[in-house]
Amino acid sequence: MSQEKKHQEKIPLGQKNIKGLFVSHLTCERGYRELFKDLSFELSPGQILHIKGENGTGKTSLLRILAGLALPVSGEVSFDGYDCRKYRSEYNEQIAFMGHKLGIKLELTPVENIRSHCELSIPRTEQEILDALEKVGLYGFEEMYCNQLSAGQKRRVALAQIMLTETRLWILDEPFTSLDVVGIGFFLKMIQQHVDNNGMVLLTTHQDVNLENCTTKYLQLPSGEITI
Amino acid sequence: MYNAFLSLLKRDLRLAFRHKSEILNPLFFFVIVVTLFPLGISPEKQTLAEIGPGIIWVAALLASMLSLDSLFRSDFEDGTLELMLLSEYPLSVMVLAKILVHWLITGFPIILFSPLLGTVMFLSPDAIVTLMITLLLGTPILSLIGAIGMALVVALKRGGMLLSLLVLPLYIPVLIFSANAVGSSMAGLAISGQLYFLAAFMVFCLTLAPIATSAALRVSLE
Repeated sequence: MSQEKKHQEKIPLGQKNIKGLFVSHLTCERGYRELFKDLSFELSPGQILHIKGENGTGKTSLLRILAGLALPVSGEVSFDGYDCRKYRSEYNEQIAFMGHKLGIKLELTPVENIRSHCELSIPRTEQEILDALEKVGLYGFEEMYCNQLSAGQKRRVALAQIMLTETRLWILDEPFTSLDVVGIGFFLKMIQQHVDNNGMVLLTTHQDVNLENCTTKYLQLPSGEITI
Repeated sequence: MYNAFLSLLKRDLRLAFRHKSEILNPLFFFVIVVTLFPLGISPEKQTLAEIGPGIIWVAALLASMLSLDSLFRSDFEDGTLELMLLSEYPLSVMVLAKILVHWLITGFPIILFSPLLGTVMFLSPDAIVTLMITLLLGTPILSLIGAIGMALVVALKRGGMLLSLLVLPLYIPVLIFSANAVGSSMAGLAISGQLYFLAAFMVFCLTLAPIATSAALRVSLE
């Protein structure tokens, strides 16, 4: 961590020619209990950050802070040198978030779900949505209501949703929950493609993520130690 | 931005029509509450005409408030609210779309049913027209103010009672001016003052409520 921190300090926030996510001196509390303290790291294009830690060490809280959904007690998060809180809408344009709750409406079909989600950023044609659904293995389920789908299938809908967003930073909280081996395979392939296209991925999972030709960093909570 | 607004509007209307109870329950509630009063107090024409405007308005107010849950609750539970917060478009615009849907599925049917209930309460034809105008101006205010309250309590498990404590006091001006306008119109007095007030109040809420609601949502989801 000390090395990371030194490196971080060399790059002043607000410098415009830097790319990626920079986190400096982040501290988070939940109900008067300190989850982690003075957390600093950076994530450059084409890298994955795998956040590890036992239950209750603040993995989800960290991801929610990084997505801008929660406030840290102190510390800063910047993207491409811009403060994420000040440039919220620009930052939101760059990120895709998948939390414990998937954001899937049960009374809508997968196609309707994805369409209405995409219209909040980049509208997609029917064909693009159907292609994405086919890629995640939901061919034939397009017209079913999501409450008739299994938990894993719902997750695949969320997966297709993320695939269509064209954002640079994916923030995934336990993305492999309730997915089968094939589903995890789809997901890993997508992550690989995303990283190959200079995307960034932040994720928490208890699964091992081994991808080719990309730097995977591991962040251990609550200590904040970073290994590559 | 316009696309996001329309998309959310379409999605929520579609959801409401798949869940018909969301539309029908507030309406039935409104009709039943109003019909209880002639049974409980007196079916006499004079009494009913006197208390009618107030009763219809109180019932409309309660029906609108009790249906506020549909505004953000399900979005909160399934996570779509988080995704809305993470959209690049202003949250207030999307909130406005949701409020508009709430008004379309609760306020609007109430307006359509109000002549029937006005007749039940022996209101004069003039007064029924006034009742419809006040509902047209007033029910959007109920949805707008209610959205702020709902956004504040959405993360609480049992926020229902708190919601009514937050929201009902703010409904009072609408109730006073609307019921008074209908009463005055029964008596053949001028009502433009009350209507102007309602219109001004509606514009005021329309401008500020979406901003307040989105701020409240950000706090609630933290």
